[in-house]
Amino acid sequence: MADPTQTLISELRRGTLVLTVLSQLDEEQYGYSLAQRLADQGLKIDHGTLYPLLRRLEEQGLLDSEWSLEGSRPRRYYRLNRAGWETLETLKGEWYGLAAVLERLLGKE
Amino acid sequence: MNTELLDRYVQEVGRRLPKAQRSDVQAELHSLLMDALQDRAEGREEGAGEEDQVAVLKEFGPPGEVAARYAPPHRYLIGPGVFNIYLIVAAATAGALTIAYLVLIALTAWREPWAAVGPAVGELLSTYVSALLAGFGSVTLTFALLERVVPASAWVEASDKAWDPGSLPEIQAADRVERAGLIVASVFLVIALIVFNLFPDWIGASFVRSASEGSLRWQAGPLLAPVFFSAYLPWLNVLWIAQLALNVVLLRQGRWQLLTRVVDLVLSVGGVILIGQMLTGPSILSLASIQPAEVRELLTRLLPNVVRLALVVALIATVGEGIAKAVRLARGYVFRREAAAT
Repeated sequence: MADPTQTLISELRRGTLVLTVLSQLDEEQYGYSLAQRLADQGLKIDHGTLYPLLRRLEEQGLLDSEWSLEGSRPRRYYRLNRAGWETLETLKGEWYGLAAVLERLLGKE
Repeated sequence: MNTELLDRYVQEVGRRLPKAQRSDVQAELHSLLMDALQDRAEGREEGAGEEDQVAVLKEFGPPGEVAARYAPPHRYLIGPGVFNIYLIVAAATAGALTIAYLVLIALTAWREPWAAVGPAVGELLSTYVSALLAGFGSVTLTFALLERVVPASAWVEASDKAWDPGSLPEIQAADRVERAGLIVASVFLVIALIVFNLFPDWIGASFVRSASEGSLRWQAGPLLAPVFFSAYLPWLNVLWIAQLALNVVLLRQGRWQLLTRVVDLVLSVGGVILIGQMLTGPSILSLASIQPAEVRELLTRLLPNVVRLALVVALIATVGEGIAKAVRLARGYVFRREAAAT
């Protein structure tokens, strides 16, 4: 059986995943370059999680994508669109509010 | 560079995806896997080998898991919006079929000679399983179709968004009497008592086309056999009058009490016995006096089956009602004992 603490950590991280990804797509990225960029910042996300997420965000109308034939092989590039920007701003507001509340709550310990 | 393992992986993921998105996801996945492989073998003269492919694929995860993440979010037969209603309807269907078959088994055991009971019940049980599967399948199919025809947002809106807390039903005291229902039932009981005892010819009276006159005329002819009036009506009168008296008492008291619940249950049991007798005893119909002959023939073919079906339905309903009353009675008794103990 999975370690319950690890499961909870995974759930906590999963909750921040969309905000994390949207925050990095102000300039266009293809899946692998985004994964590398996040890893360089200290956040390693499973490839099998990240790439389908990009697709879902596009289906939800938050990202635009297009195939590029430049470079060594065809790559699909993703970038925030207008709705994506608005959502990112809203999520950022939520994040700061939540972080402040949690700071207070955890500070009581 | 040999990328056979990667190609097989991409094919496996694609096989599990809806056709509409398959080729696009496969193309992107292949590109991403190649990026990862190239990155892994960077700086090495010999390039990426099979062990690098294995490592990259392990990092991506099993094809089934990856495909599930790419697949559209709502890929279920019956979604969460209707699942609770589905469970209730499926359980009600299974319950109704079970009661119907229990009644049939009881009737078979009662009517058939002892030696024939075993095979007959065995046959019934095998058809019971088929009926259960057919019923369950029909309900599932209906809900699966609903899931696809009615948009998911409609269920959510109906159950959550447009929900008004003020629309919650009032808490019903378990012992409170439903006056409106009792009044309606009493009216029907009085009508039945009057018609069956004073105007039995009304039952079955109908308009028939007279062949000689070519016009519609009112024909009052008894449809019920003498055995109905001699063997069953006296008992029906006892049950109806007792039920009427019980209704009056309940309307006056305004709440159920132990004694009224017991009397109600006894009347239900009496109803079950009487309907069972009607089903298994001589026919309650008398169609010999119906004119013209073609109408009589038609009725003789149809009416006995209709009456039998109606009696079976009444029997099932009465048994179900009786069980519900017994459960309420038992619950009330346990509750009172617990209350007394504290």
